[in-house]
Amino acid sequence: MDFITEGNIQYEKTLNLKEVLSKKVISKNGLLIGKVSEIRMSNNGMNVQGIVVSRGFLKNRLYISKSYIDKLTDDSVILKIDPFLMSRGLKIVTSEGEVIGKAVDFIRKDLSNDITAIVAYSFLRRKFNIPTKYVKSKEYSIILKPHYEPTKKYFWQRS
Amino acid sequence: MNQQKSISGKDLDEAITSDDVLGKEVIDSDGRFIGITEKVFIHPTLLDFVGISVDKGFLKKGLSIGKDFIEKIGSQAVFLNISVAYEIKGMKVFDKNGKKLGKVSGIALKGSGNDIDAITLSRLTKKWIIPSKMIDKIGYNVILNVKEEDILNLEEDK
Repeated sequence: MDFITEGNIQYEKTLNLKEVLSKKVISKNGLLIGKVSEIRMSNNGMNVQGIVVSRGFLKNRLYISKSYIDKLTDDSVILKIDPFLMSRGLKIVTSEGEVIGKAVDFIRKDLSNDITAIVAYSFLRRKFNIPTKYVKSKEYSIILKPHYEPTKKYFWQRS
Repeated sequence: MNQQKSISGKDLDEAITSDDVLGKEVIDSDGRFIGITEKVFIHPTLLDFVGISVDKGFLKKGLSIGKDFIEKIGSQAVFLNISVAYEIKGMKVFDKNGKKLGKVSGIALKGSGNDIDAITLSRLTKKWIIPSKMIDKIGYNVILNVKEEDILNLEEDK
């Protein structure tokens, strides 16, 4: 291959973006998010701005900006975060072990991965919000801190 | 109704009974539902609470958990202060570049604790024993701190 470049040739340190397409996207803790379907670049400056992740049939695609990407390799894309959006459907458990509902959505700061509250749902409690200050941990389920008082159950509720 | 008499010599108002422990969900520090408490272990001479036995469900081996690993016995579940090492069996294993290497098919623990000494990585018919020093992170899956080549250079487990 011939080169036209200024200064030292940094070719070996570059990545063929075509090879990154369709690679797996893995979260910080190893959760498989999906596959890279697009690599988005700025139209001035030629920098990678983020990736679009295909999550499978009937699931919304996910755009992840470069600030959340730890590394792009020939094998996969590894993120710096565990995206909260992937936690939809997790059980929400109080400090006493009561399952009070499931996470159906998250209230986020703008479009970032920082959340201010979890939108939970249960058949008898309907939809309710849990501020993140009450969240103790989140991985396989969302465990709440002791001082959280769950909303009451209603068999009948005036709308 | 007659009130139950007590000759305990202690205030038992705050004590819990075996009924408060048995049949409850056991949840580890990652929020994983491990199983249901089926036994309470008590030391035969010291009469201290030693731990619990967990029923993990049909056709699955039970698990005994020492009291040091129990964070709290809640009104509806027992919380552990550890992520149960045995739960990583079946997880995918990725190298440091995110390349999928296979799955965890076995775990060796240090003594009778919960610290992992090594894992067995299986890929098709091949198996490798991976020491814990090669493990970077265990979360939803296992991420190693070495490349695939380093694993292939390890001696295969027969």
